[in-house]
Amino acid sequence: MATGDPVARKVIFGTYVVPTYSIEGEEESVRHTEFQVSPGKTLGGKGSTPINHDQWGDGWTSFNHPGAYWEDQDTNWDLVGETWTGELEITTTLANHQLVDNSITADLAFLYIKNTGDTEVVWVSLTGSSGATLIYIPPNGSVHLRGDGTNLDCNDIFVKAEANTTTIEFIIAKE
Amino acid sequence: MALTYKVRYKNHCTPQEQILTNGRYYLDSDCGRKLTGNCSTDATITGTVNYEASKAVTATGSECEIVSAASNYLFVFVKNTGSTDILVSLDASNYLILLSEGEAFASEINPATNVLVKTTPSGTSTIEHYEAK
Repeated sequence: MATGDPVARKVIFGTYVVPTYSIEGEEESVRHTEFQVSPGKTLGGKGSTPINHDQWGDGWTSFNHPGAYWEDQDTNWDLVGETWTGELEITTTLANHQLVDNSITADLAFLYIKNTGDTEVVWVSLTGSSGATLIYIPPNGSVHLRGDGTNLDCNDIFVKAEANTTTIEFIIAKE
Repeated sequence: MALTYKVRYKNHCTPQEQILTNGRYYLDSDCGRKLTGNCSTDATITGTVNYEASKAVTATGSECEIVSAASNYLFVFVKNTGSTDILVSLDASNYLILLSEGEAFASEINPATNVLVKTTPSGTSTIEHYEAK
């Protein structure tokens, strides 16, 4: 493992999609799965993006450095809720779950959110607490995106559970 | 014979850090591991899909609408197959998601989503896209 303060950071990312349909035979209780006729194949993409080596605070990710101690946490350690376990519990109130403090107005470079719950879907807003929740993340699913570099700021990201409560892990990195 | 449609998808990432200038990159110690989600669409897909292997993108978003308003698509995949950066809007007005060459965005979406794509700041590109509902 590397030690010391980083001089550079980046995120390598990829997407993999498998569109399928399955059919159960009439005379056999066997379900047969194939690619959907269109596109008839898997889909995917990959990329890499630099992020700022000096992030906006220790809460830029829900995870914690293995050498981190609560009493040694730097600025903003308490601004992202209780993520000491690596996960953040969220409820159905969007306004209560801004992933960074409102003062973090830096342009967003990269966002990753995984729904680590078992039942409820996570809804994501990229346009503040009053914005529409247009991205859905099913249980065990995740989403990642790069910000446009101008309009999407770290403090624009809000999340909620569709119902009840669920948990997420995340990275929210500034440029 | 009952047909069941599914879209299984994975979005994964690996945060890395460099300790010495021009040195090698290591797994970011603040995260400590590679991250991934792996799931099938939560919503029921009835089998209405739309796939286009190559679609032209210009600097005018309205010219490249891949999910129209009220079309009720539940999943979208868009990949930049050109060499010019593109921006993706999920609400037909805020172009907030950047995709460089070879990068893709895939997500289950709100049925009210209206997805438009344009290049930034100018030029032309192409995309591969797939939607399902």
